[in-house]
Amino acid sequence: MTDRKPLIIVAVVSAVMTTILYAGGMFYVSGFLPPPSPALSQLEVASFYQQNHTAIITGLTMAFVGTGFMLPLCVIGSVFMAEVEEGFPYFSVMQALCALATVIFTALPNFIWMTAAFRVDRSPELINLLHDLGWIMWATPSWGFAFQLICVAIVGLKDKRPKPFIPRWMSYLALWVAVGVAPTPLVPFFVEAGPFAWNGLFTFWVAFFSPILWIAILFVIIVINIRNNEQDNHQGDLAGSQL
Amino acid sequence: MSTVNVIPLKVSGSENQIEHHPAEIGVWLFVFADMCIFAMYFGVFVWEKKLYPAMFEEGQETLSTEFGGLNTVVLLISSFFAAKAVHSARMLNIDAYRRFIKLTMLSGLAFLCVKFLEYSDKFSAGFDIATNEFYRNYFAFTGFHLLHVILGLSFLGWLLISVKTTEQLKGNVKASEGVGLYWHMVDLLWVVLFSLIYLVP
Repeated sequence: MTDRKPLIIVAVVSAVMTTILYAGGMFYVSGFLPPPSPALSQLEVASFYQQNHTAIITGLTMAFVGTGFMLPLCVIGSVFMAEVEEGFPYFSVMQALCALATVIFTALPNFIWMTAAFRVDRSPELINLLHDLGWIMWATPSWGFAFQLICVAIVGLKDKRPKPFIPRWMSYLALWVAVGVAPTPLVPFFVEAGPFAWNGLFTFWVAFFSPILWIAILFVIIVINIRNNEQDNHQGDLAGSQL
Repeated sequence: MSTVNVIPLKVSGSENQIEHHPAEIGVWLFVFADMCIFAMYFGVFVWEKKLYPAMFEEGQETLSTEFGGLNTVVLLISSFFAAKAVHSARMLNIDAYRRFIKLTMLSGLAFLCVKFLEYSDKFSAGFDIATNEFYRNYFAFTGFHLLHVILGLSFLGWLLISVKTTEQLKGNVKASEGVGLYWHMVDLLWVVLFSLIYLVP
């Protein structure tokens, strides 16, 4: 059995790095999140890119570096999952691979938006094209993340040890998040703002913040668990079962 | 001597030491969280209905209450079968259990067929998700509900595959209660969706 303590530390550090770099870059520096309305006119979009040239490139760079830190986090999750599975750890491998898909689809739009901001004198039509391409690519694919959560939930529910790697109710909550992100394929249908547009209630606010809520709860549980287990040198499970 | 009534410890034996709350706490959490999302759907629908009263009235008239009502009946029947299946699970009656799971799945499949007919009816009449706000809500909300039905069918299918003997049923009473609870939620949500989208003037 691998020593868990360094792994948990790496996971926590990666989560903090992802949060700071991604949230800072997207919400604060570049102002890409919350998403702009898809109904903005061509000139509004073009002037946004032309006037915030440096801030956009800085923020997007921070954000794509931040997404990279999601990988160690997810792979460490798979380490804990693999101990539950018998034989080839199918769901753990699947989870890690889907994490790669999540990272790619989260980071790739940044380069498209960067291209839009790259030349200040680019024509508004082309800026608009890249803007739409980036947003549709960012907001539509949720399957990678949904599969990750389904894998976590399946392994979590299979875990019959007295101290499972996550509490059972977290597996059910993971399934809920997987269902909650399901409406994102509706994004390309709506040019006007609305609940299913790329800045919509269900396709952005629910689909973006329910996974974050799940991860936040996971980290609260990990911290509580580490604190409870500081005395006894028991192999700290990822999130333990005291709860 | 005979004045003391000996109360039998095993009361009926039907409930088989099941705890007082059916299903795991996590399933209840899932149901609660999922209903929150549906509550937002209902909120959006009511809000937009206020914004565009004429469009919503016109849209509602094109919907088929026959298909919708038929599906309500189908789901209510399936919920009855699901309840019977959970009851048979508690009684550890494997034959009745498998029969009722199959009947629940059949009714679920009937719901899918009616939905397919209804959707194709709408598509051939020239309505789709991008037509207007009313149809966007209609297709998105009923579609999301349909996804729940399909998920429920796969949970039922998993029970059908993995529970074949009384021994296996013993370990799956809680799981059956969980699936049953989920199925009732799907039924309840359809009843609300149906009244809200098809009926409320």
